[in-house]
Amino acid sequence: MLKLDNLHVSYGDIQVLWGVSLEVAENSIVALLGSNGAGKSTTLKTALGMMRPSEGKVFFRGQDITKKSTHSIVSSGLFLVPEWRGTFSTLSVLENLELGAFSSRARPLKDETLERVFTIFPILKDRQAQRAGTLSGGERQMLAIGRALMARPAMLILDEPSLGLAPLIVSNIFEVIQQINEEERVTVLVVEQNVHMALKVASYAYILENGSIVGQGTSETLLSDQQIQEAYLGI
Amino acid sequence: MSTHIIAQSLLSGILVGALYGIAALGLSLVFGVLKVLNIAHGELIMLGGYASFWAFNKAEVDPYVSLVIVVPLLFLVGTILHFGLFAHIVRANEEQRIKNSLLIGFGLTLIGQTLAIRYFEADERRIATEYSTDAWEFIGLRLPLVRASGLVIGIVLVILLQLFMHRTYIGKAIRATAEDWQTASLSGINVRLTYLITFALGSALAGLAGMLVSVQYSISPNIGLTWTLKALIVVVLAGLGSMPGTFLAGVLLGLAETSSALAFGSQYREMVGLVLFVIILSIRSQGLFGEQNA
Repeated sequence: MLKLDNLHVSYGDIQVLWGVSLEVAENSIVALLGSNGAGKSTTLKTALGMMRPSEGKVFFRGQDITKKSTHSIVSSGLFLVPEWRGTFSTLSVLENLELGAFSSRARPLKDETLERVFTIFPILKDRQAQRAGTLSGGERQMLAIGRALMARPAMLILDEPSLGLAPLIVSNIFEVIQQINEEERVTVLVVEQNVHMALKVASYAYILENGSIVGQGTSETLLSDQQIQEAYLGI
Repeated sequence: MSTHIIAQSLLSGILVGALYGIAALGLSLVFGVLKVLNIAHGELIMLGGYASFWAFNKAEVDPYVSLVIVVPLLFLVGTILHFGLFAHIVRANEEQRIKNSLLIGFGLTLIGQTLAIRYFEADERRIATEYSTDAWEFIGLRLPLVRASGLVIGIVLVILLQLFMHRTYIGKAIRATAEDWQTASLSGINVRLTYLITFALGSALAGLAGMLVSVQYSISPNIGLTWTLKALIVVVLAGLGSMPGTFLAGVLLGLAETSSALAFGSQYREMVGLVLFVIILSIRSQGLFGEQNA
């Protein structure tokens, strides 16, 4: 579904990605793990056309999207829920959801998708007239995911969905991610520091460190790998 | 001082204020969404005024009818200006955008003035129609027809803009882009196109204001900076993000000007706006009706 091929990316003179390659198969959940500053967000920005690689290519559903603009990548079915959630605090909850369905592939299905989103997140239905800025952190993450679903994506990328949320809400969010993957058949790439949670839902994972992929494998292998345990799981 | 004079002054304050409000709508929209401050907004008002004037003068087109030409014309001018200049500015970060747009705006102002003197001549012009001096009289107050039209047009315009911004997909995209362009593009919104439409719309609004200026007052090649300044005071007074707020702030400025003229004499009239400008900036920098986070 998504393939990053040997990405080299720099901010001015400072190179932050050194040949990152990864692949996400259709209908799977894949995790991208790594600590702060490893280059996770840069990887995602490059995938979404918000940064241009100096070398390497991005493929989505077999098409080269390396030079495409962000909005057309989004319209083609790849949706990112950014670390900063990506909700519009001055707009109402309902308007936020409607804007999720901005692209032409999603707009005709808007009402139907909205019903679905309200079933998954009943709280959003109750709060639809409220400004998004008044929501709690957990509600805002639900809105961010709900907004992503409105886009009818073929693939969803979630950047640090657990960031700043209470543990109970985190496991809620991950349940929803699994549900979306199974019921809506949406491919998921989840980028996390919360390695435990991520490996629980993902079937395969990549480990990013200092701008390079330093390890990868199925979740079971990684969970039983002693080095991984020490470095990332704190066991 | 009789209550009659006071009432008449306040009425003229509201009417001139409505025009300030209309003049500020486009500037506020562009500033709020693109984060560029178009100092040449007044030049676009001047251009709109001249377009109406020549349509009336050469082809006897009624100024209000001329809007069907003037507004699209200025929309087109805005499109060209955006492609040629402002589209390059909005690639920079938001802090840089304001600085760069100020410089470009000043340049455009100088060019606009010079070209206007060259092609339109430096004379003061106004559109004098048959109904220009008509006025309604009631309870001893005089309500000039063409000035009252500004208030009516302003109110209708604000309602239409409000519906556009809140009910249409483009309007919602504009509001989303104003809040956070990155997230907007992650929603599949074409941010560059949104910027273009917004800038052209702001120019079209300036054209409408220009028609009203040439009917209600007069136009000359150097009115641009005066109107930019008025519009800027209104924008600061209102804060960003609210069209009705901007219009209301225009009316408030008009009222403040006329009431200060009553109280201290008309020589202080122009100063009042600037004093308000400084006071608002220092005690409530988001403006009277602005978004807290705008």
